[in-house]
Amino acid sequence: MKTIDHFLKGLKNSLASWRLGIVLFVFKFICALFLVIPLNALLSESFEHNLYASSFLTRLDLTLIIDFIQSNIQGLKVYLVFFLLTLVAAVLLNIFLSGAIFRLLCDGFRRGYYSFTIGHFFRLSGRYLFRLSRLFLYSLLFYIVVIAFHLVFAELSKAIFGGFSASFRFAWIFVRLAITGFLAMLVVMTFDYAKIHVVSVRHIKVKMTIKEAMIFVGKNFGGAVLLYLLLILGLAATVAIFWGLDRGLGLLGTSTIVLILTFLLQQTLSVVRSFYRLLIFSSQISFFDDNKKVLPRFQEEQEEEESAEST
Amino acid sequence: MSKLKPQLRPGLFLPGIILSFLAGSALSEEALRVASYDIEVQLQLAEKSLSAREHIRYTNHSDYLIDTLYFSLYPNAFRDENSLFLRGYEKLRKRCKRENNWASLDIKRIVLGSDQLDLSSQLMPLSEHDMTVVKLPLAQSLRPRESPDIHIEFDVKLPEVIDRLGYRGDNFIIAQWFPKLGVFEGGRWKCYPYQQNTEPFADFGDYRVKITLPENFVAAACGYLQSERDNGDGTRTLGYYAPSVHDFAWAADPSYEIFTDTVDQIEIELYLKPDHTNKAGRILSAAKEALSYCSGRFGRYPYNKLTIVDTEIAGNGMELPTMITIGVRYFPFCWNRFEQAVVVHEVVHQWFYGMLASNQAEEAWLDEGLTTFVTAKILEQMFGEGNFVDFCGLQFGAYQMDRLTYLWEPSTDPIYQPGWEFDSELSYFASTYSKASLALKTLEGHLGSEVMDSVLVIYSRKFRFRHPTTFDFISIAEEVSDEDLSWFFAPVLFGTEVCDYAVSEINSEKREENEQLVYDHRIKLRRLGEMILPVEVKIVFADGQEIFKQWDGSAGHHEIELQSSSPIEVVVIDPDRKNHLDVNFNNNSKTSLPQADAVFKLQTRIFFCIESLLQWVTAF
Ligand SMILES: [Zn+2]
Repeated sequence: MKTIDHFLKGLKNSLASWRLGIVLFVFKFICALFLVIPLNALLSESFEHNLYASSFLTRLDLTLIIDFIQSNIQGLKVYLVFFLLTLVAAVLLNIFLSGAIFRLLCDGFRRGYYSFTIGHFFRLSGRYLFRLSRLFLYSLLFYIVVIAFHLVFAELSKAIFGGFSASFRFAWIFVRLAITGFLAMLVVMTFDYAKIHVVSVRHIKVKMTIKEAMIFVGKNFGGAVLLYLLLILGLAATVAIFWGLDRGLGLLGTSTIVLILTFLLQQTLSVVRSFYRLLIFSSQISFFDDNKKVLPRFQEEQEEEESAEST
Repeated sequence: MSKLKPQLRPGLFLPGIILSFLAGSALSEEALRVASYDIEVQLQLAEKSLSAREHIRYTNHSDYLIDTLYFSLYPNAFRDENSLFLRGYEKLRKRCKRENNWASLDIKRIVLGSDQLDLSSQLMPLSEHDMTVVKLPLAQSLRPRESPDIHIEFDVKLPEVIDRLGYRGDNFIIAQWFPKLGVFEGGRWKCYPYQQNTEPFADFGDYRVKITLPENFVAAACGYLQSERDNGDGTRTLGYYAPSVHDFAWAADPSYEIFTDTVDQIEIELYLKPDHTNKAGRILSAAKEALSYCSGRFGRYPYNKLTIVDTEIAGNGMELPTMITIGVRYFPFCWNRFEQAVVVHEVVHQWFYGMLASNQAEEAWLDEGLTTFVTAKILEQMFGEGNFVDFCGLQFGAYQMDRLTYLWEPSTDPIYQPGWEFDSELSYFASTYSKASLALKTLEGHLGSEVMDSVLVIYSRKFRFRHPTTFDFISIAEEVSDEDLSWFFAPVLFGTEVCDYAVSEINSEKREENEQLVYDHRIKLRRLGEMILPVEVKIVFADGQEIFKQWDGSAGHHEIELQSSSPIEVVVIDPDRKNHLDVNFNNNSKTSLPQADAVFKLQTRIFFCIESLLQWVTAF
């Protein structure tokens, strides 16, 4: 019941913080636009006046795609480099924005309000940039460990279950994937709590946030995992609803209006997913605050902030 | 040699044209025996080796005197790092060196006729570093029709599977394993050192092979099992007979499980490892479908058995007369049909390789190209367009596979070329499989499917149990179509030119004439590649009217000027998609109005995919 309570509190807070969701959505939208524009130029050149392109309305004709790739191979190689660089830039920019977003979410949850001015937003972004970047690098390290574990476990499984039936070994692949998925989830979750530490305690060291987060997750393992599973379930349900609606629209044919509605539906999902990121974080703040009663330095921090704002 | 009337599958309609071509010629059920082999072989499990005795009955069916015999000793391709074969595959060479994994075939004794003189010291390798071909100068030349007996004792050291020979655990695949005579044709031996992209070439004969192996092993082999003897020493000896074939291979594994089925009185025996028995149904039904299809068109399958063996080799599948091998995977989902595709491909080879035993080393396209072309037809008939993969509406089939590989290397090598002269394995594959298959599809587009069917039917029946060449195929195509096809075959088979035609511009001007609107159109077509093929152009007007124009395709560009009372809606080159060699279908048409909806849908889908990707990478 408590888990649902955190979920609902998170939902309330993320809806109240709608501006932050819009920031996340617009950020992704602009990055995607930036990435898609050069590709669209190539696509238009090949397909805009191409009779066979009409097949795209009903299916993806791979013959046309193969020809497109081969006839634009040089341009696409350059595009791929551009794509990867832009993706890296988007990741860095996202780290920059997330400092302010997480901090404001905390403020919203803990004080019931937050101040959203451009200056304040970027000041907070700047403040947490260094620590969040380091946290990001540490998280990559943890993911590498998870992947290494997956590979070692695969080898180990081969040695142990080599003699078992093929169907068992095949099913075991899914068990292994589930275990790796669970470990990856633990990393995501732990680093979310580390981020809560970063934005809650002013001078805390990055390594300390990870340590504290691990201790926190260790102490409240059941609750934290349950909350995260509920959040994942909610996301899966959202995507399933989208998929159903998309299919339904597909049944209405391929007229311009259906295509526009489909695009709007896609963007709606994109907005919902942006809010979902806020929901995940907010619910975790709720869970965190409920279980980590003693965090004296946070109090200090909050008072300092308030006095700064009042002057 | 018995000769039978052509046996046609009941219900299959053969056009009059075929019957007139085949009139008077009967469909042979047996081959002319040039080289027959009796072999006794013992598998030494602990040593991973074979020791064998072979008796070859060779007949000089040529009108020449033969003063030398040529033998191919394939396992020597992996004898050491200097072999021609390993020098062609740097990665494999390094791996063999690293793993110290080598193979060899050593002739211990070779005797001609009733003479007891061992001639093994007189065997000479073709080149200093490569022992895959050895020649034996004869003291007395063989006269036409002379038929000497050759007795050979030899040992084979097996590698852990390299290419198509060796063992992996308890699984043995024994192909190209015995000293085998080359083909004496046109006054010279055609016996090729085994090297990059070179497949074996041999004469027809009867094979009687006795295999002795540990009694717990299950063996699968070419031909028919005729005898079985328990030796009382933990081994047993299996006697196989394969008539009218040009090769013999076998496989053994203690764990094989056997599945059988029949089609048109042909027994199919499938040997699967226990892990892969879930695939039995799919494999058997694909084999049945392919056997039926080919028997009905290209002449009856003349043996009453086909053996399919599950074993892992390079290339995933291998064709042998009356036997095919396939590397089966457990992967249980039915949206991928790679196994069925391999089975169909190798079954089709029973005709275009097995019975039409072309020179695979020098003109591999004749069996690989024809097989790929026919395989695509069978797979499309069985599974539709997504005949390789059909997953969530995404369809990828044999045709897309051919386009993909052909477009990767469209101009590196010609289709017709000795295997060892290809730039790379990919280029060999792109040319002899994919481009050749697309070229045949293009020829079909030009001739019409009925004439093309006739070409294949007549070719396969006329050259059954022979060694047809590219020129035999061309002459059949020209005879059947009653057309000089050099304009097609010259650039397509022998050239490396690229084919690409495009609609580059449509200019229309509107004016009024006698109070009626008149449109003056100027359509510009361009030849972007060097290959010249005739071009058909369709022009569709807004009022639904259609007109067709022809262009010989030779100039760099071509203009069509015309008038109409209605604006142009679309101009299409090759409207019925007959030319499958054109490297870019996307420039083959031009519509006057943009395909706004289709492009919008494509672009927004891609946009959404990128947004979703960003969602993942910015989850931090
Ligand atoms: Zn093949």
